[in-house]
Amino acid sequence: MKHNPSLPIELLQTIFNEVHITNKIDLLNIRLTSLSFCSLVTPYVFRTVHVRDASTSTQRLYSILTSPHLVKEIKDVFVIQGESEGASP
Amino acid sequence: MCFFTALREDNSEHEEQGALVVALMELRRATSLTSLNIIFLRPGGFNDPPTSQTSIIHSLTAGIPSSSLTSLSLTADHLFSDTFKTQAFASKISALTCLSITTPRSPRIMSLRGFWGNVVSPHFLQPVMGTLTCLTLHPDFLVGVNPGISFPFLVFPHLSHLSLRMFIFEPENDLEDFIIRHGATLTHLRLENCPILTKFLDDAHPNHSFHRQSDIWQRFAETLEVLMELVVTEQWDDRDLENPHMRGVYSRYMTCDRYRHYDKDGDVEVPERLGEDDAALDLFRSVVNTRRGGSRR
Repeated sequence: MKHNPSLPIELLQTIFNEVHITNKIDLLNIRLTSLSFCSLVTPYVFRTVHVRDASTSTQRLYSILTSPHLVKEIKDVFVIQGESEGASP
Repeated sequence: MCFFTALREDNSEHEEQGALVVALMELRRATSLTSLNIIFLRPGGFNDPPTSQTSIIHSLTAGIPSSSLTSLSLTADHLFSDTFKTQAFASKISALTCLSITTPRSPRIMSLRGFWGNVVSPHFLQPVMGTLTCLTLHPDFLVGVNPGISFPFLVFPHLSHLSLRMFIFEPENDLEDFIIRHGATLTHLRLENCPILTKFLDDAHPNHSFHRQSDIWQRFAETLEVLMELVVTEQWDDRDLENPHMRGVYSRYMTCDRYRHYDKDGDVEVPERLGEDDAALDLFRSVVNTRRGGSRR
């Protein structure tokens, strides 16, 4: 895996972990910036997955669960019946 | 709304439900899954057919990899008790170390009373006695004996964190001894709005002895030897003043009639008694604080 040599991976992981807690949208944007960032950020993005009883949310969950390199990152699942649909995963 | 529009929306809802059930079955692929959070908060959801919740829980039960789950959180304002009464569900939660059950205030209190009285102990607590370290039980109405949990039958050898809300200390439910029984492992204890039954208003229970809160704090201070954090709160939501189901629970000492209706015991709840309780709690808190700085009320 390539990464920016100016910053050690451990430091990047600490930063991404902090971003994961504060703003998941930022994390998704970081994931789009480069292949190396994508590899580093993917575990944080898909660690926690929310699914609601709405079609788009369900489709997203299904896509993640049927993706071999994403499904292995899932550790925490929220199944929500009744709240309005928000950001997912 | 015309009939056909309503029918179309109804069908759409069923399709979404079906898609969700199918997707949850695929959780079997999530081999790293350790934590599951289920939230059933649906405005008007009391009219849902039981199959709605049941199908979600059954697909989760079928989908979750065996024994991978270490944390389960259930938050619901309406529940169908039969949903959880399966051996498959019990086997999937058998490795839990953390369990949290919260039922926010709800106008459909009867479904929740049945859940707390008949389901929580046999279908959530007993299957995980050997593994559980963290337990949170937060109903939003008083849980004592009926509805209640049979604490005499519950032993969690590894329990370190216990959080209870609106459980009433009664001679029959053994709550006080349940907490003391875990004194060797309990490091964190949180009690929110947990009053004490002082007397029955019928003659069916003549031999019970009732404790004062100061007695309980004194016993806890002596027996909870590894407790590091203590939180005790008595804070009531003003909205409950309007709720007939919550009548009488704004107090520390309660009476109980033959129908298990609780009410404030004005004979016992006098300023002198409350002062003694507060002093005993302060002493308990200071004992805990000697092990670790800080606790709050």
